[in-house]
Amino acid sequence: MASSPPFHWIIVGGGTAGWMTAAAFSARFGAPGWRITLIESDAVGTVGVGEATVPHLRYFNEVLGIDEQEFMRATQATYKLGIEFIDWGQQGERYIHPFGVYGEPHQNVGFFHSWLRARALGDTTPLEAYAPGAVLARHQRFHYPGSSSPDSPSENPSSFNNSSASNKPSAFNRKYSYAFHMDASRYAAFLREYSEARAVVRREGKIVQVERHPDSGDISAVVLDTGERIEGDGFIDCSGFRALLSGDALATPYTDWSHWLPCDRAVAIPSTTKDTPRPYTRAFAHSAGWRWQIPLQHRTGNGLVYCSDYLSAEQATAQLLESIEGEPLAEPNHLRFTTGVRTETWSHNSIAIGLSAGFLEPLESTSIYLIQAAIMNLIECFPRGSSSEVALLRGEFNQRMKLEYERVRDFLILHYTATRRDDSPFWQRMRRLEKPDSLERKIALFREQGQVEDYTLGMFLEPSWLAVYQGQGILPRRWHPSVDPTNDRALLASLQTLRTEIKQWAEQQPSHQKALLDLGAQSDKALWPPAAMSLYGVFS
Amino acid sequence: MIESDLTSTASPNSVTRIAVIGGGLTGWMTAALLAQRLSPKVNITLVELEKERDSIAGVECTLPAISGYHAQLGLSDSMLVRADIARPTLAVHYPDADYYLAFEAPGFTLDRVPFHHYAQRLYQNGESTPFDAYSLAAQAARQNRYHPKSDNPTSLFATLNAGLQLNVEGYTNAIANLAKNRGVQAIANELVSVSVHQNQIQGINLASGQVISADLFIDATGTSACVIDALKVPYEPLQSASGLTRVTESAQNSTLNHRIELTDTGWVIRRSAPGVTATRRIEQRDREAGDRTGTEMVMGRRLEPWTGNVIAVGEAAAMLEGFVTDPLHWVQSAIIRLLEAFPSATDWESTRKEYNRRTELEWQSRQNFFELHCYLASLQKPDSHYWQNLWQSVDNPELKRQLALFKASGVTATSEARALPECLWVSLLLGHGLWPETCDPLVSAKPLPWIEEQLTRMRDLIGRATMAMKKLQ
Repeated sequence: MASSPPFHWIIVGGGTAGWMTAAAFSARFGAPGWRITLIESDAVGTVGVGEATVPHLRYFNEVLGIDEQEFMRATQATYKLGIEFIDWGQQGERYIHPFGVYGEPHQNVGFFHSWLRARALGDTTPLEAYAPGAVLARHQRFHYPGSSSPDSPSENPSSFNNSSASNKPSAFNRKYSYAFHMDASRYAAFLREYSEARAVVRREGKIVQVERHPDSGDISAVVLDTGERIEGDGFIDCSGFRALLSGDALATPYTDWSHWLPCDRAVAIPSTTKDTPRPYTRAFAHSAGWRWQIPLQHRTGNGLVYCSDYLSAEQATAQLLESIEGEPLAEPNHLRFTTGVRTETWSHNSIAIGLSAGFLEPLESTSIYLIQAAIMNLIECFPRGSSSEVALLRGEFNQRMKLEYERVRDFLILHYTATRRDDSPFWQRMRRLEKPDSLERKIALFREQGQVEDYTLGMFLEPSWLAVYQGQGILPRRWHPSVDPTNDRALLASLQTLRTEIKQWAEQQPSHQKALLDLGAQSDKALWPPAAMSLYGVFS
Repeated sequence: MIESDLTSTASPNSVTRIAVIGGGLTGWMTAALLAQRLSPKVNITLVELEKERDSIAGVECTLPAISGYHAQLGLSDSMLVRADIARPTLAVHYPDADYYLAFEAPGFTLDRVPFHHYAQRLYQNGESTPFDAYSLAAQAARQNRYHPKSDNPTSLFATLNAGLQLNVEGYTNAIANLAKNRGVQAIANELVSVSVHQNQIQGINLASGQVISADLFIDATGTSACVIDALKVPYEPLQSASGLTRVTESAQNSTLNHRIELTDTGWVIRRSAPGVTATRRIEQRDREAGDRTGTEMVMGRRLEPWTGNVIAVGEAAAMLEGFVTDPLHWVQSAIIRLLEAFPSATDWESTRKEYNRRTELEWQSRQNFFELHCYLASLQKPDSHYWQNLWQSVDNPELKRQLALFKASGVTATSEARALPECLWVSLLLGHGLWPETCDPLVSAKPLPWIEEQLTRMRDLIGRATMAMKKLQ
């Protein structure tokens, strides 16, 4: 894979992963000498995962120079401020995991500790009341985060220790971020148009054979059902669960995580949207898994994820149909999967991106994020130089992706194990699950004094862990002593003021429906805020 | 996962008394911030051991990160500069490579690709401009000019992140005064013995007969480490630093900037604060040939710096030459780490483990930085058996992987062991001529004249901005 132009990339499969890769490569390597061919077959359906996204996708679009409003029209997108989790910690409980942060730090200690102390004093307000993004979602409203509001007073540097100054309502719009619900098939089509305008060649056909170099074992060519043979230098396996290259041809070992995440089936049915779309995804826990509800402009995505030990496909379909709010728009689409990841997603000259690399259920909308992370890491670790140089880059890429998958995995397991549910064999099993040491340690640390394990690599950082811990009933034994000196009444009053101001601020923002119309009408000018590779936004 | 009970009343094992043992810079820095954050709920006592008085001499340098510690104390770097205690450092001079290492990454990101890939592209094309030509701070240091950092993010002067070179005596006094004002009780005495029961410190017995007891002890006694040693916590020497000796000299003047010079078997590190210049020689001595100069340093680290009810900080926890930063940087970092999750009760087992885990990550980055300097020396002295053998013997596969990756591609390996800014690594490697062998494909895809134009403009801009800065005398 010693590579310098001319170099021919073959992308196998044209779903979300394939076209995102093609679009990113064509946008970033516009120079002559690079050839990109994408092979897909109209006869092979795509899973169309990842209708719900995370804010990182906005960064991807920004790098590609995509007009956000054009993107939203093309994909029938709605705004997404977070995910509501219903019936997870216990039946009847609900919380929002927002793309954003909570409250204001006090004496260099996170707001959560002030909240804990107030709770011990009898204030039972949930944590989400202090996250502007979550409150905005609860009010079915949306506006861009940022500091564009002309009347917002400039930050006064002298107010360093004066927390009330930064609690001004004008500061609330700096504490959240947003993503989209979108039609993933339309996104793939949108990116196909984008890529083909940038010299990506699309070939129609089914791959029937993969040829490997006899000495190096590298993939040298693929043969289509038409008999045509296409040679390439580097291959991207975006063939989904089929994993034609990484699984069938190269047999890269797969690390099975289903003992930790035992759900292995899903059924999906789109439906008409009954009400105006919510600006957040919903995830309902049920007796043997969970169910998603993703509101787009033209329809609602519904799906039921379950563990086949406890639920049959018929039961799952019936359960899903019963829960759907609008009218079903298609036949049920059944999926089977094994949670896990390939030990090396880059093997030889083939890089697996998307479902061919691994599968983690879309409970936190990570599917497209993991595609994006693979693309961005691959662009940074792009193969070049001699084989020993490529080996170093491949090692680095694999190490980064392994960490991404493992950190998402632990966060997903937390959702299933931080529960008091005892109402079904599935939940009894999850409650007693032996967790990975890396997660066990994080939970023990949090229970002791509310500390979230410190790390910088990975997508879910402190605010997300707080959201799930608190939302599902794991609370620390004590809080940080730095919040003790404030007297009880002053603490309670300051929290009450903060949540009242957030609520009042949220109530002044446009409804989600109005935002979709109005922001969409302003497409002559890029008004959307800058994007970041962060769940929590560029401002917070 | 049953929700645990929150108690708002103090339990019998709450942490209300802390004893800091050792009254050097380490002890006072620790006591000051603990008191600032925890007083009056927690009583802080500091025991100044009489022997350590004379060790206060010279200069300690630190990275720009010290300003975070100062801000928490209500201090600012500029206050210390005005009080003639500190001198700002914009860059550290490596004369053997004729290079100035700034604390901020040189250049600007262009089209979301790190700047050094563009510099590499020009180097590959025969351009010989040193990497520090793209750093305003480095150019200023080269010409002995200074300007304070600007708050305006669009100004070039906003890149002027300065470390500090501190007059240790003046700084210790200032921090000690501050600590006392924040309620730290100081006792000056001699330590006689340490009572241990079930792997916990029971008390520190002083010559006066007084016994110091506390819920938590901080061992700030430096290399003697007499508190943590009482718990028999193993100290792991760093093999690549074995046999190094230290000679420290200081002079009553202040002329030279921070510089690091290579010798045949080590380094000479000079720092200069107001009123004092300190020179430290870290070298291998030929003991067999009768060379008895210098104090032998056993560089290494305490395996569990927080054990039982003792936390070792400063040189009691780890000792290693840091080149661009001295022990006080690691002291402030340890105290901030401790305060981030300060235990209000003694059932702190998970908090303790997390503290030790993070300290170990920090140690890994310190070790990597030290061994990076062994590597740089091996590049500078290709004919020296000493340096070649030393680098050969460095047993650090992860560091060697990271260096090989950088050398191959200019890609910096991701790691959680990032206690020192990544830009220092990139800058040092390029400054020592370790240009990556391949070019980033995104940069190769851009027209060379465009890159040349961008970088020329950048150098001109930096050149003009440097001339606009005040010349120091």
